[in-house]
Amino acid sequence: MIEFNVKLKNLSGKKAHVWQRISALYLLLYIPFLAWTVLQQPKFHTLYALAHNLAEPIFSLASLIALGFILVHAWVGLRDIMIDYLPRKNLALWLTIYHSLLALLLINSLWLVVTLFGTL
Amino acid sequence: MQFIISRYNPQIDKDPYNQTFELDNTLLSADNMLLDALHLLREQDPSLAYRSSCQEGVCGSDGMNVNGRNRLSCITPLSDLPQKVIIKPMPGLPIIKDLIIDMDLFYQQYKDVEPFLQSEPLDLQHEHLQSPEERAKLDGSYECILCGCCSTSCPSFWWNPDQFAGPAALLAASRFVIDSRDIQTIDRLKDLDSPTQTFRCRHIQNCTDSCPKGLNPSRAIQELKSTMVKEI
Repeated sequence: MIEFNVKLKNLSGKKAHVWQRISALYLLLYIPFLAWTVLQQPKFHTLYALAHNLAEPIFSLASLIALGFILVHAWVGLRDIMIDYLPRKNLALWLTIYHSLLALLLINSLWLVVTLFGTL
Repeated sequence: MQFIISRYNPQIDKDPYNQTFELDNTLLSADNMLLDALHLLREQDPSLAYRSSCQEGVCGSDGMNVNGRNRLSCITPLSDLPQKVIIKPMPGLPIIKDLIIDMDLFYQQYKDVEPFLQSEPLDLQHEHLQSPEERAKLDGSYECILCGCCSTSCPSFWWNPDQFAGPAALLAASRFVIDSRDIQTIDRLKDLDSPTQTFRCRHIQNCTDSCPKGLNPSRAIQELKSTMVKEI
């Protein structure tokens, strides 16, 4: 079960540091790959046609991993900014809200992926 | 020369305020330090409060913010400063009076990293041996004089001085982590593994810029992070 109640004392230092760097490195490689793949596409008139063409396994898998890493990178980056700047009194509450928002984004993104590619 | 000095006496003043002092250039010589000027200014106004002790950059007691940069007044030549000098207490810690700040939090953070060697029990017949190469690794990390110039110029320390150890304490922690004789390396690293400790450092480099001894706390913290990634 996902732990939504974020406690400051349970937050990781080293693990977050490592994941942020791994995700940054992956996105550094993925973004040019994404640009190159999109530029290779012919003109499409519908989103369905574009999605159909992009649904090849390598690109889909790379994009799913990138989506996960974007969320990881965003979590660590904004989490650290919140720890620095937000008043400590309500910090755990704000971190929990932010954590929940990212979890919702993940679920929503997965739903979008299934909707777009599941029927192809 | 003109000196604009931040004054504050908590028993009388509600807020700090600036007071302007003028010092005749004929009273100063080419090799005078800022501390010499402060001594002359205190003759004008004996209520002016600042710390000083050894007066040669060893004790680290006379740290202050000079024209926006933390410095030791005793080793800051007046010839390096413009005719208008703005002096404030080092930022981020409570002011006791004028240029004197309360450094209790700074010392507490230093104490919390256990800045002492924790080695095998001492054998009186045998020293804790260290090779010249192992000893050389400590250069640049043991010379800290605890003046506080680095920590009080660090924004991460300003925001949370009770949580973030600060550059001086982390430099000391690094010094014992890399010491080949210390046997508590992993425990030390685990204690510092937190988003509010070592990983709160954003490498802004103010600490390195302000260190009057020319040390590089930012690099030491970066090495501490790398060691954590490898060792724990």
